[in-house]
Amino acid sequence: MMVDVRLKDITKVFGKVVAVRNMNLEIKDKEFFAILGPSGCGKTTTLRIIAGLEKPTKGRVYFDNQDVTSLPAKFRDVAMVPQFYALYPTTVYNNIALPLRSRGVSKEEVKQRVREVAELLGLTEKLHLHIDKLSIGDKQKVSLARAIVRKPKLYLLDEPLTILDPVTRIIIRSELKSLQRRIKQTIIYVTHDQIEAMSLADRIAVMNMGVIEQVGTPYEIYDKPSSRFVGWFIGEPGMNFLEAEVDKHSSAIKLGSQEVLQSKTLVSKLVEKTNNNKVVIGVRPEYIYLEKNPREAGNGYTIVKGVVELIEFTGTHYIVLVGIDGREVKVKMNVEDYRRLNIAPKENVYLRIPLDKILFFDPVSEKRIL
Amino acid sequence: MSDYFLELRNIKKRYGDKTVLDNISLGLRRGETLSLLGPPGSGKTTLLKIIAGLERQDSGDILMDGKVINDLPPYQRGVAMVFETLALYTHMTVYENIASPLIAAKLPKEVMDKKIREIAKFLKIEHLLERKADKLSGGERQRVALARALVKDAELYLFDEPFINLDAKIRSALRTEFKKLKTTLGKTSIFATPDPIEALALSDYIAVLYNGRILQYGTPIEIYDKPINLWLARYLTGNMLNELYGRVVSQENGVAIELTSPVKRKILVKDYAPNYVDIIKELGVAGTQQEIVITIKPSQSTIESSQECSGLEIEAEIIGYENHGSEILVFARINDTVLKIYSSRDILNRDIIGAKNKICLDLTKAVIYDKRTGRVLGDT
Repeated sequence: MMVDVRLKDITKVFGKVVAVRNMNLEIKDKEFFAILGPSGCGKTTTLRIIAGLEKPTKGRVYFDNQDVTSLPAKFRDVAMVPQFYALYPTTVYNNIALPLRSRGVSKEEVKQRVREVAELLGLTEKLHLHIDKLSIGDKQKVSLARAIVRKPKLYLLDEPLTILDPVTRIIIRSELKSLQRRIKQTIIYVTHDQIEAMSLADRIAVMNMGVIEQVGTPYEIYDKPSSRFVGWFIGEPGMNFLEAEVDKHSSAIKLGSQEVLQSKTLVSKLVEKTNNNKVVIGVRPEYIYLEKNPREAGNGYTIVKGVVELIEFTGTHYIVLVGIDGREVKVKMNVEDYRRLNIAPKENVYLRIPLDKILFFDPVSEKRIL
Repeated sequence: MSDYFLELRNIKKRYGDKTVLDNISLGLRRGETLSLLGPPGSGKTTLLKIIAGLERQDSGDILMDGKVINDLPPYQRGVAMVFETLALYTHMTVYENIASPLIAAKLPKEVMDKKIREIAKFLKIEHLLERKADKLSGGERQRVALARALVKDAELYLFDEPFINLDAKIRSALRTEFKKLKTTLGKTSIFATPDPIEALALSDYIAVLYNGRILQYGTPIEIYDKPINLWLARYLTGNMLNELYGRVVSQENGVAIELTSPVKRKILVKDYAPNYVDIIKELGVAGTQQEIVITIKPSQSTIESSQECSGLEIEAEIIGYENHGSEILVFARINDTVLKIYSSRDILNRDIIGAKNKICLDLTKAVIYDKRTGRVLGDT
């Protein structure tokens, strides 16, 4: 069974609030697709529009090029797995069998399909158990099994793992990913958790304020965010952004009084893409190295001088906040590197930044230009 | 005389039959930040309320600048307590939001106005004062929330889980802003939080509260590097700790550990963790078959197959991973144990799920606990 989902010019308005604005999105057949964004960004509304639980104010929804915009939810053949499972107080077997029985599937076939699904999810040994005897993780698996047993065209999952403890969450998440590979069906997964989206999805749509900011594979989004919002939202801490000046005459890019790099081709490209002489430099905290002693910029990297403002210890890492001429940069270091470096607030440090990790954004539109 | 600004001596508090605080003694110098870290019900909020004067201790003394203030009412203690989350009143302007904590203080309008503009200037939100709170970006909201918390003049700020219910993203950004402000303004503050990362990142000192007692007190690094018991070690890593079980045995060629889980193997302490030889000898546990738990954090293990392993090598099956961008937290199963190891992102260049992989655990970095008591070994 093949399903690709296409949203064309979708807008959804609730009263005065525009929940989704002019959205265009294509989800490919058999894809594990995540819709990621902070609370209130419109991701759940988008999912409900795909399910047929909300009607878009404007725009069309297509399944395999067939317009389903006016098709009621029950005829769309999609399964929605919610954040909180709603199970019946009976055995695991009955819970999984129920969606089939209510569709008048024969007893023999019910039996066979329940067993197949139980096998797939590792629930075979637990089929006879009462639902109350299960762990939260297993209950969420039963909830998933009820969706799978119907063999729907499309799975829609709305933050189904948030209630689990961290270790169980990672294990079930991995099981879900390998399950998707076996059943070879399209899954659309909504989450606010960037790590979850990065870990699960083939591709991610990052949403903010009703608009899709970027669609791409986890590392396309991580390495080349298309806007400041995406750079900030992905990664912990998010990307650093520094206002810089472009000097056409000397072909240099400057942070205040410091020259970051000099390149005729780069500067002319930047000047072409932005109307003024300002750009925003984006660089991830984990790509910057700190050094105590001054040194010249070298092949493939630049050196910027700064002052340590504060140091945060997070257990697994140190986050060093460095001031550069009134700007601030976060540097993420592993514990051993940090302790070897031995720095304290107010000390001078030198930031070594690999040139291939530097991105450029437009200061007005906030979109990436290079 | 101590140089403490705030000092708690043997604070006790009971609610009916239940001991909520059991003999709490703590000191805090001016300008320092202390975190009270503990799970719900450990006594954090009660202790904050006692310091603020909103609750009265059953026994023990509270001192400020060396003077006992047990009988001082809350409003004379110079303490500001921030209970609520830092969510804003969305229907109000930024100005009204910042003004809200001052209204009760019945300050003259001009004084109030001056204070609001001062803190707004410091936080670079002057241009937003007339804007409605729901028209702000995430970063602007944070600053407004901070301004509102800090606009009240106080000698001591008490925060009760101020970042709870906020998105993780906003939470960590706000944490940094708080720390910066504290460093710049030199404000003395106490934070109650159940979140270890928050406590580690924010504070100069941490007091871990557990069942109304101080389980451990120290700098974030002291506490993280050597948690006093197994419960705390697990709590600090969010249950991501790797645990090996075994017993201490002595052999002719030295003290050894006979591992029982997740692998059965006998290892010589001097080969794998020379730094533990003396500790184990001194304790006299060798030969007593004392059961121990060896704990190793995910960042102190490696899974890159190319490297030579100088630690304990275990083969395990990769069952999942968590993608943190530059790093991957890999889950690998061996028997009934799931090991957690950080790896570089290169590991995702191949299909790793289901693959057998060699994992190298650096036992010199391990923290070892007595299995029976849960206490850390070598604690002096």
